[in-house]
Amino acid sequence: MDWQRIHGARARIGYTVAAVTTEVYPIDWYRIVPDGVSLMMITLPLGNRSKDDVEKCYEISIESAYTMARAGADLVLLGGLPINISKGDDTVEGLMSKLEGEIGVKMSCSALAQVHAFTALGSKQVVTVHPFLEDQNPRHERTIRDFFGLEPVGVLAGGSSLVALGTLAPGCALEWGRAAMRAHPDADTLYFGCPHWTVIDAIQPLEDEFGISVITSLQAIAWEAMRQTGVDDKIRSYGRLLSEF
Amino acid sequence: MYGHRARIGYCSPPVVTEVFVYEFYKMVPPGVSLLLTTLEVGLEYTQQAFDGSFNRSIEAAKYMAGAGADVVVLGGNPVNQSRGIENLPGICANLSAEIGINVVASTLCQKEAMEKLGVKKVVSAHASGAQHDDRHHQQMENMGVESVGVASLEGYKLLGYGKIPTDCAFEIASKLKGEHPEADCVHLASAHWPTAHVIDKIEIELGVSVMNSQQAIVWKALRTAGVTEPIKGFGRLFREF
Repeated sequence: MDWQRIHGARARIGYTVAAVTTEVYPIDWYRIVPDGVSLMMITLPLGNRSKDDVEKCYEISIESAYTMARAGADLVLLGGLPINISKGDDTVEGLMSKLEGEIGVKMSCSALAQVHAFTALGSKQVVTVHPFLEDQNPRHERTIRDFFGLEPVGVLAGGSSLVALGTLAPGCALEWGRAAMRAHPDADTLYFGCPHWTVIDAIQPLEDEFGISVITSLQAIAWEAMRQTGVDDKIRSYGRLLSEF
Repeated sequence: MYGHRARIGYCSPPVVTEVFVYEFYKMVPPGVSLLLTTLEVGLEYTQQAFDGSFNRSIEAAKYMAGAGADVVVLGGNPVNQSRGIENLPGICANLSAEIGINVVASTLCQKEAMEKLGVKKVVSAHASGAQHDDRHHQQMENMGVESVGVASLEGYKLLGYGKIPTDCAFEIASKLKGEHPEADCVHLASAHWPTAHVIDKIEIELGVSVMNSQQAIVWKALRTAGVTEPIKGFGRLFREF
């Protein structure tokens, strides 16, 4: 190893984790990114996604951006799309610009990372798979339609919960992705919501099997973080987004 | 699932956690995963930060138990010792009884590691600045070993530990051993600066045992969770105990 280096010699990415505890995210992060890109994390007290929880997490996210900047992050990316857009769909870019000016470090967020990913891939008709209960389907459908400006052609709920995400088998995403595509063959993009369950191994098989684009929250965040910090390596095995853009 | 052998919960004192996760996955075998919650220790070590971190550790431990962790580590030697080292076994036992899984504390992991290694005289290298030398000295004495030397890197605060180059740990360990040849152990204090890769090098080249905070935490957590195989590359502790 190069002993003069720091672990994040190429880029240090600050990320606010929209969960009390994180498990899957850092594992998959370090599977995706090249050596020299490190992850700095602050976990947020997002419990049952109540309005109060989201409000509190929004405020802590902003405070965290300052903390990450002081810690030397090259980019701060605020996690949790529902938190990012909780003040209104049209507030996200303004907040990022304002924070960037204040902290002197590049800013992005999960919501913008996914906007950029959908745009890069030319997505139009999106089927969504998320790991939670069906009561979250309307929220996902609304986000695809109103925030991303795309056509939601279907939503599949895995039926799990935030606290149980670490126990999901890697095969779940592939199985649910296939079911979603069979039910909605008109989709050009399959979107896996939430970066805290094991999804990345399903990306390439589903793109190959159905001839579609696959976007996952974590993949889009990692891609955005790398490209914003000048890490332009084309990365294989986790979909077109990382290998072509 | 990723943690099919063991899922280890860690309450991580620094408000921003970077190095611990990176080095954790260098050490553990496949099938072991980390559940991480960050706490409240930032630029300064204050009693308020210690109290806040301890209280959040308890809440995080409950959450981790609910999420299916096999063992929870209450992180932070200074956070732990702020409760009184003599109280830690009871705190862990009571919390374990309440949440139904094993609970260990960083301080006790380190104490046990030094007992296994047969440590008598220790030198401590840390990165929190020379103004913290006395605290580090006292923390070692509280663990029942003779603290014969302490030295700090300068220019880094806890939030900046990710900026410490990877050669610093060996350099400061060499300096300490040179100044205190009677030491039989180098303690690399704090689990949040780059140290994992130099443990073997220090042991071989300086002829001492190494007890590194992260190594001791991960070792105790693995053994508590039933992952008992020897692990090479990170010191005698992992190879022999």
